[in-house]
Amino acid sequence: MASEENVVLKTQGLFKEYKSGPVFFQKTIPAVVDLDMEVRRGEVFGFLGPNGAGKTTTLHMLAGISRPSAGAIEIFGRSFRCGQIWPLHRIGYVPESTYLPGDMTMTELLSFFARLYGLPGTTVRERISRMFEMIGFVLRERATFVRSLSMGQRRLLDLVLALVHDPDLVFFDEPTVYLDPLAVERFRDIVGMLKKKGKTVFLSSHTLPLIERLSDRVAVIARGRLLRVAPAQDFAAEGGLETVFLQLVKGGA
Amino acid sequence: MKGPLLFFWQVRLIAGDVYRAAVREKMMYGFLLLSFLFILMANVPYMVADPKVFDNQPALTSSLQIGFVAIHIFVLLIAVFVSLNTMQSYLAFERLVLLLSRPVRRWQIMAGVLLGLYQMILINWFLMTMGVWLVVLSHERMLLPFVWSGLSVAALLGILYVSLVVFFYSLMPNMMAGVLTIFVVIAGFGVSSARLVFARLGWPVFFEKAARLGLNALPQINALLGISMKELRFFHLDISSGFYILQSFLLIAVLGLFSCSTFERRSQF
Repeated sequence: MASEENVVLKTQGLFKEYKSGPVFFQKTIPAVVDLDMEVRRGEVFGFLGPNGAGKTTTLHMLAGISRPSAGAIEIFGRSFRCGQIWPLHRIGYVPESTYLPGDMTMTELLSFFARLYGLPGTTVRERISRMFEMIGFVLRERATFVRSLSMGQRRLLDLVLALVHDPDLVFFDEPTVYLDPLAVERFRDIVGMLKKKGKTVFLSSHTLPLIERLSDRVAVIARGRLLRVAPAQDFAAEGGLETVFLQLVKGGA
Repeated sequence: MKGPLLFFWQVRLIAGDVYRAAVREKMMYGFLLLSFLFILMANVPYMVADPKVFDNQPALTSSLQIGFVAIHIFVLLIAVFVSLNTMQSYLAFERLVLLLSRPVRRWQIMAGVLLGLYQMILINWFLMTMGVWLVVLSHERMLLPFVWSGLSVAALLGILYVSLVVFFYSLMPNMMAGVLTIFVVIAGFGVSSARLVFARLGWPVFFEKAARLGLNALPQINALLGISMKELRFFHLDISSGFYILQSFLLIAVLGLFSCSTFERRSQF
C-alpha cells in the first residue's frame, strides 16, 4: 500500500451499470463492478483489458464525464463526484474517439481549449508553440484546418489538447489508435517526458506491447472486474504480460 | 483568471465557439439568400407605382409589409433549423466529452449554446432588417427610424424561438425539438382566440384564472406581431406593448434557466 499523500487517484467499490433494451423491458447491464484501485504520484499506470472490459467507462467516471452508479472516487486526496470541476484544472483526458471540429484550424482549437482554463494570452501562445513542437508539427501546418488532417495527425492533436494546460494527472484512452510507428515513438517520448516531470499517467489500452513497455504498474480488467494489479516486472517474471493477461482473461471466462 | 470572472469568460468562449459553428452552417446562408430575394420584392410597390394594385395603400406601407413577412418567416426558419443543426453537432457526445473533461460546468455549456445562438439570430435579423431599411430608404430618401423599432420585435421573437428550440432539445435531443417549437408557435398564434373562447364559456373564476395563467405561459405571437404592425404604422391597433414584451423576456429567461438546469442533470450520462 502506498502512503496516503503519495496516492493521486483512488477508487472504492466503483460500480457502473447501463440500462439496455426496449422501454418496458429494460435490463441493467453492469459495465464496471466494484473497482478498487490506487494510482500513485509520478507513475505510469497501465490499465489493460480486452474490448468491452469497461476501460472507457472507468475513465469516463474518473474524468467526471459520467456519474458512477455506486462507489467513491478520490482524486488528489479529496472525494470527487461527477459535476464537480475542482480537480479538472489538474487533469488531462484523451478520449478514445473524439469529434474535433473540422472547421477550426489547429491553432484555433488549441487556443480555445487553453483559454477555457483561464490562461493568459501570452501563456496560451507559449503553450501552443510548445505543444506543436512536442508533436512535431512545423509552423506552416499550424494554420491547417482540422478537416484536412489525417486520422493520425488528429490523434496527435487530441493528445496535446489534453496537455495544453500542463496537468498533473493525464488519462490516455487508447492513445495510439491511428498512429503510425513513428508517431507511436513520439507518444512514448511524450509519456517519458511527463514521467520525468513527475506527472502521473493513467494509460488505458488493449495494446500489450505499449502497456508492457511504458507502465510501472499494470491493472488487468475484464468484464468490468479488476483481475489483478501488480508492478510490470512481476508480469515479466511470470512469463510476460501477454501470457499472464491471456491466462487472467480466459480464466475469468 | 479565477472565480466568477473565469465562469463568465468560459461561457463567453463557448458562446463564441457556438456562434462560429452556427455561422458556418451552409443551411443558414441558403435561408439568408432566400430572405434577401424576398426582401428585394419590397421594391415592387415602388416600381408598380399604382396604389390600386396594393389596396390603395402608400407604397411605403406595402413595401414594409413585404419586408415584415420576409423577416418573420425567415427568422423562424433560421432559429429552428440552424439552431437544431448546430446543437446536433455541438452537443454530440464525442464532441461534448472534450468540454465535459474541462473545468466547465454543464450549465455553462448550455448557457454558452444559448448565447451563441442568440448572437447568430441577432446578426441574421440585423442583416435582413438592414436589407428592408435600405430598400425603403432608397425610395423614400428619409431615415425612417420606426422601421428598426417596428422590426425589432422580430429579433425578440427570434430569441424566443431559439430559447424554445434549446429548451425542447435539452429535454429530447432530436428533431422533435423543432417540431415541438413549431407547435408552440402555432399555439401562440391562437392565444388571443383562446382568450375569447374562455371568456365566453362562463367558467367558475378559479378555472378562468387558471386558463388565463396557462395562456400567459405561451408565447403571445399574435400580440407581438400586432405590436410590430403598430410600430410599422400598418394599422392603428389598440395594443399596449409593455406587458407582452415583458412576458416574452420572462419566458426567454425561464426557458433558459430550465434548459441549463435540465442539461446539468441529463448530461451526467
